[in-house]
Amino acid sequence: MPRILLVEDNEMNRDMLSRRLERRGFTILIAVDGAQGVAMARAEAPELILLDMSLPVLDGWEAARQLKADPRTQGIPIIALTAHAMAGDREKALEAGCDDYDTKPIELPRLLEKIGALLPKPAS
Amino acid sequence: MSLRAAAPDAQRAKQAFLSHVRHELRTPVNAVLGYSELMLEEHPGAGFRDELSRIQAAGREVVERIGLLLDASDVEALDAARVSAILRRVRRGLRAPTAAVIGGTRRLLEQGERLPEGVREDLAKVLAAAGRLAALLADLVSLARAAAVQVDSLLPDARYGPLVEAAAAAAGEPRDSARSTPRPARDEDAPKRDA
Repeated sequence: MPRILLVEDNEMNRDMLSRRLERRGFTILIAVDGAQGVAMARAEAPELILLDMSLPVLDGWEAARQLKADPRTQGIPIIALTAHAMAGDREKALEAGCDDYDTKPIELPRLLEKIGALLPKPAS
Repeated sequence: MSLRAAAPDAQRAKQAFLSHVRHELRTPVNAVLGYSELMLEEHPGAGFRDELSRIQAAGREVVERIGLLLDASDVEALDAARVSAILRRVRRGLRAPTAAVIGGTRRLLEQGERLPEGVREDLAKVLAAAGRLAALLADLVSLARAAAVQVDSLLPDARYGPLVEAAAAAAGEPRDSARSTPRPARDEDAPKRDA
């Protein structure tokens, strides 16, 4: 069962998205700020990270940079999530090291497609 | 006072201001849409699905209008008059679909014990998120002040914050009914690209 680390400071968005993903069979780990997200990624080595970009303590861009600079976590795919949806946001997230980008409000089928594309394929 | 003279910083200020307002408004709508979709997924045969679908449709309308009303390409410059006009259009354009979300959610909550387990709690979250959105629309001065802080942090020497705040204060004057509760939809509230 793939484990996804959800880094999100908004309680309602965290609760809602984690429940929807759990219904699809994922195990969800939770972090509420960027620093906690980096620490949990190092400790838990999830298969994928969903990273909100507007986070307290350490923002998503800096968290992504730290995760991709660390040999322990640089192989974990990161999908950036943001409600900004500004021109250039996607490029900014990819420059920070994120592997993909999605906007809020979350369209779950679209997000699931991105998650599926980035999760490690099971050995046949 | 105009920001035109400060270009190209004016472009960045405009982007930062609109981006922050958009982010603040979309965050509660994300919860409205997410929880309504979650309840539809968890209770496929429930009798409240029609009302929930209407709530969801109203939430999607809010998102669509935010995109139209805060489209940066539609804004030439971030002068005080323009900021004030944007804020007024946002309030007028979002009030009706926000009221529809709140009204629909309250109607569902009136079913009380007849609702499946857990649904009342999720509806309460939808109501709280929609209430947050309504509060933002009712207090545009605070919303714009927060956006001005973002602009100031991006361009600390530009002093755009006071301008944005002044425009927001103008948009929040009593004659504009800034603190009234959401009212029913009116055709002229719909956002128009050529407005």
